[in-house]
Amino acid sequence: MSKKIVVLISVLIIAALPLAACQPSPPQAEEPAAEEPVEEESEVEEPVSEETAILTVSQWGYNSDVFEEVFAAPFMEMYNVELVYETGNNADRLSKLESVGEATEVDVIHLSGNYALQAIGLGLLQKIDMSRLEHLDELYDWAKNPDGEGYCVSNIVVSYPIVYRTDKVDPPPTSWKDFLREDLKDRITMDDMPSTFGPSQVIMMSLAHGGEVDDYELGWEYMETWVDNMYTVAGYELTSLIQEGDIWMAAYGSYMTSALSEIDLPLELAFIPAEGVPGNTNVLCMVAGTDQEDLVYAWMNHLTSAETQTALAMTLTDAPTNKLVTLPDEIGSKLTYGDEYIDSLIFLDFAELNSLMPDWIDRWNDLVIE
Amino acid sequence: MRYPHQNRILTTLILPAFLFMVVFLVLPLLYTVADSFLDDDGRISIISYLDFFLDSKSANIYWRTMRIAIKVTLLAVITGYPAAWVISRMTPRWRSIMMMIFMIPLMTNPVARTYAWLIILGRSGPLNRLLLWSGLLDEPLRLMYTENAVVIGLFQILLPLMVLNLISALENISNDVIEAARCLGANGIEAFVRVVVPLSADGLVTGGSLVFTVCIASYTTPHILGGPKVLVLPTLMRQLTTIMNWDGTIVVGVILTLSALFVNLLLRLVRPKTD
Repeated sequence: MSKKIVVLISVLIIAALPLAACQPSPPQAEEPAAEEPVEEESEVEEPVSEETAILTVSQWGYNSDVFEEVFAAPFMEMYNVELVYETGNNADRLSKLESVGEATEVDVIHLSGNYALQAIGLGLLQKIDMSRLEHLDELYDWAKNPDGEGYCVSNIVVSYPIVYRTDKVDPPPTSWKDFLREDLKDRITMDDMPSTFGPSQVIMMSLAHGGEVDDYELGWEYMETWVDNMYTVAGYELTSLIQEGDIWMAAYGSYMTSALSEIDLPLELAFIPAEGVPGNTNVLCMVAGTDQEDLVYAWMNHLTSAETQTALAMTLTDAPTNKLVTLPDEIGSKLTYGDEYIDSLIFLDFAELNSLMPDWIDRWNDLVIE
Repeated sequence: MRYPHQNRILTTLILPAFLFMVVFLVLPLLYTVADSFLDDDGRISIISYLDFFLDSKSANIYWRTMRIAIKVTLLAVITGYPAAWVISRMTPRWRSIMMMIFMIPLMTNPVARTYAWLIILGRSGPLNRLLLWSGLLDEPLRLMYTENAVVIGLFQILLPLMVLNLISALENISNDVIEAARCLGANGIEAFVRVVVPLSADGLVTGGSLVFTVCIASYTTPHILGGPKVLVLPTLMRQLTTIMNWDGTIVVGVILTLSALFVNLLLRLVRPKTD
């Protein structure tokens, strides 16, 4: 082979590196969309046995130790089933499901509520028979049929409360307007717009200034001031920024509670401002065409039971959707839990917000990019 | 002279790897590139690319990505060349020890490595504290979430690629060659410019290509150290995938690929030649 051909091939290989980023599996440490933490590339685990049934679960892959201990181990023991995982963030797993189509091996998929709506729109899910959900009556109403069409059930509620340094933020915050305070300039963060709670910032600005949930333009009027006031946009690195003393106040995805509660600083966690707190559900959905319907229902029942949700909440990882869960104060006060907190939740209309996102990301980039 | 059966053996040996690369890389790559030049009706169109470059925001993101990559590549050459030269002249034992030290950044997790910079460059980080303590500053510098923070982070990660490539090239240059140049009247600088640089040009080009290409394709470091204020093409791609805009993602990916290809060929074209 001539030298020219060798050079040409090596040039092509080098040149292909950037395009690899086009593939659905993201590079490391991506900005997580709300409940999506830093994750490894998607992978399907291997253990397969001919005797035991196999349930393929598509999930985020974060807090894998908790997932194994609270969700997987008891389930495998109860049903003598082998669990196979596909992991990745919402968008990646959804696109993979779409591209593989009916040939997918995934039986049940964990998604953020907003992405579940997209999955339904793409025809990737099949309706569930609600009568087969043993704990349906124990769930909050908004968790029973979060998509409104009977495709999913919610096992986790996530929210977007405020954390602040009690020794630094004086007076303490009362409203989302406090993010615009001059004395907190460069001491606050925001969430990136293309994340689950990114758009809720616009809505909370609207509510804080006398508007309604859908007075988007009013909200955008104040976004510029908030952006000017922020130190940076932060996802999971918020923990480090608070720990290092750079940040005094931030809204955060409630899935970060465990990490934030370990910071040895005077922090008020899970603070609810006057206008309330944006909320979202993490849902379990049956993938269209699965041949493991019984096991999918068993998985849904296992994850929506008060017992499993209590065990999960005790790890401070995620908050329950089962009303029968009772938590001690030191745990419950940090989670999206309790009547006052649940009543303050503002569930966003993601069906509408999803359609607005391309335009909103554009507007956001206009404000943020230097 | 090579006999026909030798050619057949060579072809057989290279065929599996060659076919693998063609089937799983080159063809999909060509398909993706070709597909991005078709509009919804299947007609050839460059409208997506025109839209990208005519939009001042995305054009700025493109030039920022290139600017950062050029800065990092130049820094890697300037600092990596002397280091590689010294290491290449060491005894084999010390050379392997030094190469191992330079490879350490490649062995550490990029996320952990980048998070360390988050602390070092932070407003309350050790660097700012040192500057404040020394009296050089009255108030902390804003180092994080700037283009310079991204350059520093990428430079740390990619310097070993440049140094290792240069060492491979430089260690093959015999001291006799340099001595010969000196004997023929070249001073130290002339010997370096007219003998050492041309003879190590392959290492320089390969190292430069690798550093530049990896740089423009990097996501983690620009994301953590730059944030959305310093948006680059890979972080823009991430935004697009979040809203499942795959067409836009592919356009950005193809632009990145063609840019890498162009720089790669350019470097090979302008590489210093031996007389």
